[in-house]
Amino acid sequence: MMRVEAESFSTPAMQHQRGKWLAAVLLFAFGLLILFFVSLQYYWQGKWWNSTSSLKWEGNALKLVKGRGYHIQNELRIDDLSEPGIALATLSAPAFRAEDYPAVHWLVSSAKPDTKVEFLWRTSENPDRVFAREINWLGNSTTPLHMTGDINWRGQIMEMMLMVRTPLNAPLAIKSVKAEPPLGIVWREWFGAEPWLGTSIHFMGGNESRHWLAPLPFVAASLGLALLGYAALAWRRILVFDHRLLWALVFLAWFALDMRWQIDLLHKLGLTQQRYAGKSWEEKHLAADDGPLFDLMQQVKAKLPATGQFRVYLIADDDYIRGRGAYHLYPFNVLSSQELFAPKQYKPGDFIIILGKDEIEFDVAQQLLKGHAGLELSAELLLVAENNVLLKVR
Amino acid sequence: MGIPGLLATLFLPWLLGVVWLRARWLKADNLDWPTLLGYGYLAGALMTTLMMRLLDAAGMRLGFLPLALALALLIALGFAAGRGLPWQGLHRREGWSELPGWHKAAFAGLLGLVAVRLAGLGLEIIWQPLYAWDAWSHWATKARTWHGLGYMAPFASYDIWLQTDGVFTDRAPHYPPAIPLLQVWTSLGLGRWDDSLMNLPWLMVAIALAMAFYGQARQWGIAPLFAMMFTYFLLSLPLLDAHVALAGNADLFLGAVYGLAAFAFFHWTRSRAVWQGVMAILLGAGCILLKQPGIGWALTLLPAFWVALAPRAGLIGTLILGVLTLAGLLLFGQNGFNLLGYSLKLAYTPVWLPLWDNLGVLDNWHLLFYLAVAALLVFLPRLFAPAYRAMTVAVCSALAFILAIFFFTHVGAWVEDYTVINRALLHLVPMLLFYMMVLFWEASGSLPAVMVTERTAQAE
Repeated sequence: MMRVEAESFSTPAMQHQRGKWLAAVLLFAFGLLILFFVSLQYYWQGKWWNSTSSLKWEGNALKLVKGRGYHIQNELRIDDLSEPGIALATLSAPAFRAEDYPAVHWLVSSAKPDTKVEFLWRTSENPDRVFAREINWLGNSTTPLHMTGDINWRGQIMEMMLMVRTPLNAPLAIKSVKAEPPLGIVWREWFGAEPWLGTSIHFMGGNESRHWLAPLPFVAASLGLALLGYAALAWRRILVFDHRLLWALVFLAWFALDMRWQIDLLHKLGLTQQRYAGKSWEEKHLAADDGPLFDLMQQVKAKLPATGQFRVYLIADDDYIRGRGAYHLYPFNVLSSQELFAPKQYKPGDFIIILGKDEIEFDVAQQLLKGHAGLELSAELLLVAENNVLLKVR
Repeated sequence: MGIPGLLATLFLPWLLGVVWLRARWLKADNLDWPTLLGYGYLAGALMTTLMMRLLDAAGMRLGFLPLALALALLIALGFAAGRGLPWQGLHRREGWSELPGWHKAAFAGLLGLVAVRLAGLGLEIIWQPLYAWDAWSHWATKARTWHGLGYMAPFASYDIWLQTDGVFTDRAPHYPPAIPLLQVWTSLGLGRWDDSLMNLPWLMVAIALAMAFYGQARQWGIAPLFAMMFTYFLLSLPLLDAHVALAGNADLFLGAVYGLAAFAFFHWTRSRAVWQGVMAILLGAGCILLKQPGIGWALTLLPAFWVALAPRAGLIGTLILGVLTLAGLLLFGQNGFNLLGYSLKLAYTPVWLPLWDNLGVLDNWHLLFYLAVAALLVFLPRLFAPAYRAMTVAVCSALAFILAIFFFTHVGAWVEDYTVINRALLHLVPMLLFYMMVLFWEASGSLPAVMVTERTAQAE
């Protein structure tokens, strides 16, 4: 242990000290390297050393053959489906050997990630057949697909496609598609940049659904190997046992993990700075993901009286929209819910905000709000923005 | 008011806590600066929220000036309570000057890493608008309302809101008010609503936690470099960092307050120092002010106190109580019951896999839980030795509390989707890391400072 002690450093003693710390660094480095190569060989026997680099196609290289959409800023945006509830985007002639690229990552995002998304491909071996794998969502983005072990992922890839199935409740953006070699996968899993996500408060590294060489167990195992190596060297009296060296190894392992986290933090900070630095709090909210919602709520607040005993009801289907919209309305006395209440609940002077509920109608001529099960409420229309409205109960 | 007002809201509570920690009756005469500053901020922040509640209950409007005056008065009283104790007499740990040069260099390097981390997290707080889900749905709703209205308007559940005028509602109306009150206090100093800057207390908590951790480690007699290494370990934990960067949730506060209570308790078990005992009790109770589960965390310290005061009776009693509680839950908990504002239903959920994923695969805690398992295995024979018994019971109570919630209640569903697991663990992590540091340190044969002093006195 690192006790407080005065040490005299003669030249041989200093050399001995240096040698000891160098041994710690070397032991840990050997542990890392051995485990790294063994793991690569285990997962991708004989294929990991192929020096193929990642293949990437931007969204504007995709052709939409079914469904409706458009290209914007290198992305393909799909905003509607064709009959029978599908959209299909194709990428022709990528031409690569499947075995060299064990991961495919479609970078797809949506505000409402309940859409079923599938990766389809054809191979030169079997050009008449189309193979498919469903892609998982994590938050608002899709996760990479690991193709190793899929018996249909072999030979020359002729065509790649993305199938989108109903429901499509919000536009879907395809930013790019990447085919990754083994070392590319490891690089992404270790150093892949990730912005702050809604899940970041709960757990780290949420963008990966499958970890091949997850950094934490990998470094822990490397540390274990290094400690074993040290024990063996001390047992064989090649190195003198010194418990400070154990702590040096633990610190090195911790530090290695933390530097990776520090790089990630710096990247996150860069994104935050780019987006928000130098802005007022209102401008920050306008620049945030929910900027349009904040803007709408600011318009609503401008229509509400500054004082008075009234209540605000916010009606929306989506949990996030409902909660976040309500947050932007405080300090007004607001309640958010999914459905309208019975008319007797509302008092004259109360306000109702309805966000994107197509099943609720407002009869402008009769100034009447009409909901399900014959619900009718006399109200005044104060604001219309797309399919969102602000009403005042009469 | 602007930035000066904002700074005043950060430093007035700090000063308040610091001066009261030096009250003569606390007998904290061997305090060092990091401990004083670390404990000072958290104690002062909690006292500030209590003062806000008191003024609100007295019908006064929540405003910067009345609150600042009230705090200034309390600070003056604190100075009076600590009159005669010289500030330059604050304890300085010995041994620094004799440290080898490379120890000093390594110490400076670790301090630099901690400073860089805190600076980056501070910028995230300043730049990022309120982001985390619970932060804007459970906490800032109240802060925004109370700041806007100038008083603590009551919050009630949806059902009550629909039937009653004059109440507000959000998704957690039953949560205690300390966290939103701190946000209100910061906003009052700033003179406007800003849901980024109002979260600067989260940076202060991280700084205070690091100072208290390091200070208490040094009070224990742990060498500067070893203490600094563990302080760096604490501040480097990704999940803890995320709670600073995406400030606005109560979990970091709860972890820090509970952690400081535990550090003080650990010291008290060895030294019986009055101020350590008082801090353990007050900060332990302070958990209740922060979040509903704080009641549970406060209760986990009770068996440890019992064991510290009456070792044999405490151990047997704790064991019997634990078994009875478990049996009671198994017998009567099947139909569901309400506890701490949560509706709990007893059902065994095998959450081993999410637990392994979050502690051993995803890099939420770096190597903390690998080290914890190693410490448990290596030191198992000595964990219930007299010197460690009460500390071990405190750690075991905390672990039993959290594991019982994870495995035997419907909270298991939130463990499975990863939304609760690490946030709940954050509450006990500072305590666990301190406990591990003590075990590792003393395994080398090094004694805590208090014992060294006693033995020296006996020898003389």
